[in-house]
Amino acid sequence: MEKVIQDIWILNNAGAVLYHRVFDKKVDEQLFGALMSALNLLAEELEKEGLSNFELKDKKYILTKHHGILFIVNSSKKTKEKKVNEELKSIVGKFFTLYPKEMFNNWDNDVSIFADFENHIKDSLQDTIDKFEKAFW
Amino acid sequence: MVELNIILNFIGMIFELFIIIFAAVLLVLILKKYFIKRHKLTRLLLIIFLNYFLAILFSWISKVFVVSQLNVIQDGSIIAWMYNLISDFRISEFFVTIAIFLSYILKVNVFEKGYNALQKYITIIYGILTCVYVLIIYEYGNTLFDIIAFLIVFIYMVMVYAPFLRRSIESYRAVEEKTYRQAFLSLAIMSFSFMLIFLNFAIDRVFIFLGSLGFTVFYYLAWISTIVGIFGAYYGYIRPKSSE
Repeated sequence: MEKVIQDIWILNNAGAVLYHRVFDKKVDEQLFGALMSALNLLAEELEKEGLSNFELKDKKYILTKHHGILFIVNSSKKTKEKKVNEELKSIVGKFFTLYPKEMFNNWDNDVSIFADFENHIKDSLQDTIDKFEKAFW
Repeated sequence: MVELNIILNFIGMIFELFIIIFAAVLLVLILKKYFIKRHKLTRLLLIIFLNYFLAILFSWISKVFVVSQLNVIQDGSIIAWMYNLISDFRISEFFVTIAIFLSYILKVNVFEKGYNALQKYITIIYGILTCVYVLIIYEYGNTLFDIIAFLIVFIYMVMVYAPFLRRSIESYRAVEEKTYRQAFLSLAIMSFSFMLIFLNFAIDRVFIFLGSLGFTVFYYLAWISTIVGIFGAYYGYIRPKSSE
């Protein structure tokens, strides 16, 4: 079962990675360079708030910026964009519920506080399918 | 009149025998699945369907009582009480109630992230009250009490299987893989069919209350819903194979 959203990066305005979840850890160096370059360009475009996307190799990347925090996710090209957007929206919502934007005014740059985010974004559908696979399928 | 009743029970007995065979096959397949997976949820599913199987078996036994003209003297003894509980479907309702409660646990474990405290207590209390009603609130020949028993179990079925249905449909809509879509759709059909069983039985009992001998079209619809539910369970739980 392929996940709707595969990898996630959450960065602040200064470029610090607050949280990331990468499923495919073997990323080609050249690909990573191209990815960073594309992200840099798109992040600049996303000065305020909005959504942008691009395709690289076999994946589709979607970026969105809220309250100065940049959310980058990728998915398979085959996955419907609407589903990816819905899940990204849910991730953004959960992030600001757990870490309100006001928190970043006094934040001491300690990224360890975001480590727990993993437990909150576990896709409930994926969770259900995992359970069915373990017990029945 | 008595002969017609025996004939109707005989037809019912044969019909239910086929249901028993379907249910037994499903039970064996779940058992096989349990030996492969050794998972607590597979074990739970096995216990759920064992209860359903026992419910069907006791329903069938009640037909055997009538067809073989096996009667007991209504002297208030334990044997007479047990005979009445079996012949008026009460033992079957008891096993179904247990199965419904276990289905609630299964539903929470596969579809939810944890128990909702209020829902949990309502489900437990309602389940206990249902067991008390079906096993104790009984009067020989009182069809009204039986209709209420069927309706109580029907409501319990809806309480657990309506959310199960909703979750299955949500998952069916959200998932993209064909195998899993079919599995969730089958589970949705299973949930819907299970809810129909006791509604149909209750309607059949209403006809008995109004003077019919029973075994109306609703009796057969109830068992047809059971067959559909069994197939739904097979295609939902057993048939799909994980790609991993």
